[in-house]
Amino acid sequence: MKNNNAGIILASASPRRTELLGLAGIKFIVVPADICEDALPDEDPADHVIRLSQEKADAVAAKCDGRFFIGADTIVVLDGKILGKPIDQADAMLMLSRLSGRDHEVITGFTVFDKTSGIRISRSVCTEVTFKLLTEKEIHAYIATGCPMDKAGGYAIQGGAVHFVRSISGSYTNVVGLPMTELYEVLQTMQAVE
Amino acid sequence: MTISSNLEQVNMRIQAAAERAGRDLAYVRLVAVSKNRPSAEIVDAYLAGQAVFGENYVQELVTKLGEVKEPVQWHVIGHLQSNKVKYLAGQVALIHSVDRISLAQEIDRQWGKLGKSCDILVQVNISGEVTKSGTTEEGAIQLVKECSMLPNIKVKGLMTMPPFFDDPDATRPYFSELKKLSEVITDSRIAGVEMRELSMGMSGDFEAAIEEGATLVRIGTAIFGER
Repeated sequence: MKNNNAGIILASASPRRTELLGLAGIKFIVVPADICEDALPDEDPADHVIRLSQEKADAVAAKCDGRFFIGADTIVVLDGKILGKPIDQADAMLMLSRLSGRDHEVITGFTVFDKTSGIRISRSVCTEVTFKLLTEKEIHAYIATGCPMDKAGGYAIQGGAVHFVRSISGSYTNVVGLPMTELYEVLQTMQAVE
Repeated sequence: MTISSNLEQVNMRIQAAAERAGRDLAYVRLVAVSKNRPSAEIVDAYLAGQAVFGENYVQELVTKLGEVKEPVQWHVIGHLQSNKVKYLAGQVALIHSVDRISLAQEIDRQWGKLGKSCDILVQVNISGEVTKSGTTEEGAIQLVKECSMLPNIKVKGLMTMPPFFDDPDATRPYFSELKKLSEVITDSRIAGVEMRELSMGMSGDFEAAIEEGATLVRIGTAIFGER
């Protein structure tokens, strides 16, 4: 066991993050955080995801026992503007049309809060993603699956949009929702894992 | 005033004080105290030629370690809790504020894990003010001896924070007392211990400190301005 009883809490409802953390052999429990995710006026995208990841880790740490609290937030950035989760199907249609045939950035911010010492370490990781040119039919078919609705930028790389992505430059797990190499390094620094 | 012109002024005053005392400028280093200042200002100061930055709080330093990509040298100058030492391991060049053996043991353990050793100063509370950290003078000699037994700790000197006075000359006796203490420790010839650093003097009194033998002066407001 790498970290038996280390008291790691994942402050996220995302099944994709749960899966990634499990794949790395880390033992943890999940306690979702409920916070306001609106961006502040003129907030830099990387600052935004780091702030939200801190708020998620802190919110769960305030109500739960445990030692290390992991918060994370992922956004899609196109032309310097944050694309959030689509509000309806028309919005998803618009987002995917804008991403079609172009490069965008996926940024995940994460925070690990060590409740014992009160120290937080935050990082943001950026991956560049290139979409192929999408046909209207492809977009409609994807929206019909219902998949885009709870995803930043209206897609999930490991789901029904798997054939939209021509290439990525940078961390793959970052696009899924948790940059595992960087997170693991921080957990090692905090001596939460060996 | 900009950071770069403030730095120039401070360095000129350091040079003048060293000359008055007949001291070699190479043995007086400026530690820019950057607590509560954003990383961007640290980068500004670095680009203006400042290499060494002193931080008081572990959380703030950890955040800045992630933000400042320039190869600055970090010093820890504030009170340090043992359970935060691991976050600094291998990443700071000097810890000025070692005032108890339990803290030294944790530094030894964390640096040892990385196969490195850590340079430290022993903080002495010369004035005996209860609000200040640091050992007593007798305690300092004992602590230096105990630290010398730890394989991954290198004792490089002493640090003190005198009481605050409006008149910089009023702090002189505390500086000369620390200098005397370092000479006593040097004379006791403890294996592996060097007394080459004396960290004393801040924005209001660094010139007096240099005249009394300071090798490290910790200056914040004269560089970054009032907050």
